[in-house]
Amino acid sequence: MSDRSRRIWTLLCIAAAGLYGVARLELNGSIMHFLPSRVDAELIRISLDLLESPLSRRMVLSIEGGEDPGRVAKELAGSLREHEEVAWVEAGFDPGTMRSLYELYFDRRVYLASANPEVEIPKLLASDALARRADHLLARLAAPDGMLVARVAPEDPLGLFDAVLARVQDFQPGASRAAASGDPPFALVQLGLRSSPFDSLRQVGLLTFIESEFERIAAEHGGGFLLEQSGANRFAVASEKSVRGDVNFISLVSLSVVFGLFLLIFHSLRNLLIAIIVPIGGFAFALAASLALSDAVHDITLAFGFVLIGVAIDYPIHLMNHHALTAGAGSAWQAVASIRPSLVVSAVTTTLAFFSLFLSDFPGLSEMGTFAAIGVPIALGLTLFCLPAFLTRPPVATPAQRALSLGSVRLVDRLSERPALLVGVLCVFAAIAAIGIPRLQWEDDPSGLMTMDPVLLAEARRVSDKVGEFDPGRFVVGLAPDRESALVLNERIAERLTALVDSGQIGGIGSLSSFLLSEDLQQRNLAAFRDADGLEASIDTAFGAAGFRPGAFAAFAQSIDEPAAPPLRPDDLIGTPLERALASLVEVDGHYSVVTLLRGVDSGAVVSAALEGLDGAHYVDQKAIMSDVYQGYRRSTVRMLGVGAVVVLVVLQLRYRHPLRGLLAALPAGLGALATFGLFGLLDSPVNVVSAISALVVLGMGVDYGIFAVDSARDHARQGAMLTSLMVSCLTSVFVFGVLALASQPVLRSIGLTTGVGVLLALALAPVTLALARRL
Amino acid sequence: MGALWIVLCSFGASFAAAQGPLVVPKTAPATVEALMAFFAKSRGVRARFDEAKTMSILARDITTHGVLYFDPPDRLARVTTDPGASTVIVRGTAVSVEDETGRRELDLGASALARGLVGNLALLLRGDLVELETRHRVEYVAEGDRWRLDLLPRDAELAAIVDRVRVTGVGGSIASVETHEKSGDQTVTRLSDVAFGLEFTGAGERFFESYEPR
Repeated sequence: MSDRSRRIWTLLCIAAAGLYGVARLELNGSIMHFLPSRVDAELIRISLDLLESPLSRRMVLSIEGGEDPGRVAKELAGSLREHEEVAWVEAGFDPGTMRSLYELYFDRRVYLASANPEVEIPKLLASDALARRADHLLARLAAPDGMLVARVAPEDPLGLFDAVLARVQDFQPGASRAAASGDPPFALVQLGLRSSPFDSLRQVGLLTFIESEFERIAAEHGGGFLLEQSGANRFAVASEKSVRGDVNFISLVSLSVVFGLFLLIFHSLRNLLIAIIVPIGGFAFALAASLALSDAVHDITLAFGFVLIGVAIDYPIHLMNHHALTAGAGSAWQAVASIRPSLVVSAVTTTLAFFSLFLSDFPGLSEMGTFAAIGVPIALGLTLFCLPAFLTRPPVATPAQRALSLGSVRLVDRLSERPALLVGVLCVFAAIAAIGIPRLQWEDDPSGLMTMDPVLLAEARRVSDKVGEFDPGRFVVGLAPDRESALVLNERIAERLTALVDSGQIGGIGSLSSFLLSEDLQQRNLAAFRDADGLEASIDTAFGAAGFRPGAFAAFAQSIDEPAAPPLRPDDLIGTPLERALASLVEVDGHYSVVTLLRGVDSGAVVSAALEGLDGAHYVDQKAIMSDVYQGYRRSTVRMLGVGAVVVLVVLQLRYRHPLRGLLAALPAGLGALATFGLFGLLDSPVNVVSAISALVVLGMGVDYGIFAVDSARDHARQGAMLTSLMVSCLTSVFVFGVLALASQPVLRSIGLTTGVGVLLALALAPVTLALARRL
Repeated sequence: MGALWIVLCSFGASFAAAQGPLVVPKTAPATVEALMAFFAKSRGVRARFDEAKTMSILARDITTHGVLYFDPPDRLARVTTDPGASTVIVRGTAVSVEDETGRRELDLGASALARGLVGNLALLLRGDLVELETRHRVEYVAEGDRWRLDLLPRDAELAAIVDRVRVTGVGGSIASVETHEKSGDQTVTRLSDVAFGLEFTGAGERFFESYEPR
């Protein structure tokens, strides 16, 4: 194939891959991407599942100020009901809700009277309690809405339905603050999301709709209203915006730095455009392959893809420097042939290092690994088989190339003459590693990997305070073999936790037992009423003394003898406004878990102690669990780093078949990575699991420097070109990773800082490696 | 109870700042439009009430006594002094109830039935004939200085319970409000010392504000 045809086909293939990637590009911003995918412990799995369950698929809107915030809230709720992303909306009880609750509970009120019927129902039916109840009913009848009370009183003189309603209303937004005084009036709207709150593409539309509808409705009511919101989706959208900003910033600065360096060294825009074909091609094919393998690519993977520019441009840099600086290199095809073994080994070790990310249990890191492990071989292939076709003009070394070449060779010559200095440099690196690594501070809190907007966080906290929101990430899980057992366990959990609430040790609980009791407990309630001696007569006596007509409550006695409905079952809640309460009762692999939400927990130990002896009941602190999970993965990643180093060493030994040469080729990478962590330890700069994974990147890139240094040790003519290439390559890498270190997202910062410092230290060790290799 | 009287006394004192005197017709307005036109301009209203509820489940009537306040367009206070002390404040569809057992908030918007039962008096006192006729079939009879206004609910749910609400009056004043239910139960509220043309300032305004539903 002629050079011309090769050029055309190269550009066409890259364009096709790029178009495919752009056409199929769908971004994913889910935090789940950075959580482990393979978790065995049931509690941890439940904890992870809850992050995207209906319990977290909700928003709360608070409206205050203006003339009538309640009316604005109701109209906003009406608009939201029409939005496709909104599953449900609540803004206080509407007539439909009241009717549903009546139909659901009134005929079952006897079943739901008490959580402890054997004790409480006899107390409820004691003569003094009945007398108090009669007086209360009389007072209710005297109120302006007494006529409504009179309708249900004959069937419910004890107010059992009212008690159920009160429990349900306690769950309404703001219920805990309803009686507070001194605060400006506010109204709340609560809404459920159809999609994951982390699906930022869908959520951004909803958030925009909420803002615009609020502004329209507020203006219609005279303005002066304040809308505040809380919801995980707001953070997801803000995070995506921040990552997009990072991507734009990183790509712009990375490209500018690489372009600038290229023009400085090669003085050629043409060479720059030719060289950029390699990383662009690698990126285009990696993106296309990633999208062919999955539906979407994570934002952070996309940002990481730009890092390839820094890595893959090394290959054309090597080719162009050797082509220009090596005397008698001949054509570009001959130049590439002369460095092919070094390029191939470099690319193989880099790919293996990146590929180790693919083995990670973090889907996000695995995706990054796949992306890079595809992009690097493609870049190598383009360099070996396509790029020489573009380098058709006779090479001319620029003054910068010549100066760098001469200077670096002189440096190595001087180093070679001073073996003590070589040993001294290695000792300094080793000392940094030895002293610093034991002082390393590992940060295992996963929330530290993504930044949360402090303004949004403060607003969410204000709204949560108004709602009396339950503590995020802290709850009690009951695990049971079947649904009925789960409900029974849930009642026992509620009983224990209610005692904590009563003693002020926790602020409150959100339990399914407010809406739904086990069938066993419901039957015990009915039995307790039936066991009461002379129920109808007792009621007649007590209520008669208060002024009620004898026999007025015969209907209640009849509802005990012949209940109008069977006990309430979970399926009865489906299709009612309380359906979403069932989200806390989840089937997992044939078992049932039931979640009780907690409010105002100061000490998890207090909750754990309260649950002691209750089989299947567990206090869950998601943050602590996730920290444990990340700590485990950090440790396994460090082990993986060791395995990666061994794999690279094995590849190098196979390549050189000389133990010392193999070790020297690994020296910049190994000692560079260790010294990087040592430096972080000495500087008290905390590191995390992502830093550990980034060390694999340092390993993969640093070993390239060792390979080229060892390969050129016996060929003095190549050393200038090699050292110039390493310097330019390293500078591009350091600048690209340095830019990542400036990203707003900590996960990108960690990658950038670790890799940037590591690559720089590896470069510093390259001349030392070459000087030592000359002695072999 | 003492505290309640202090509130009521200071509340009453706030009427001193009321605007110019309102002329209350001595004879019954000839039409319902004329009656409602008078109420529309009658500003704030205060009246003592004596209420008797007759219910089938009760062996004897429940009687309550107290004072009603109306602050147009939609604030209504019902302060019961006997038996027991309780206060009900209606503002639009939001209701605040406070008695010995505490304070609770209700939303009339959640029940057409409750809205129909509680909201009529506010509609009448602000002279909102359009809304009154939307909710009821209105029958008005005037004879001499006496008049009678029958409100027959249009809402099916309300009509299934309430046969009619009958409001009677003398001249431009209201004498009673009777609610007759289909079941035979009835509530008769007799009003006395009815004062029109009031404005709620000072303690009166604060009184309503203290019950501002949230």
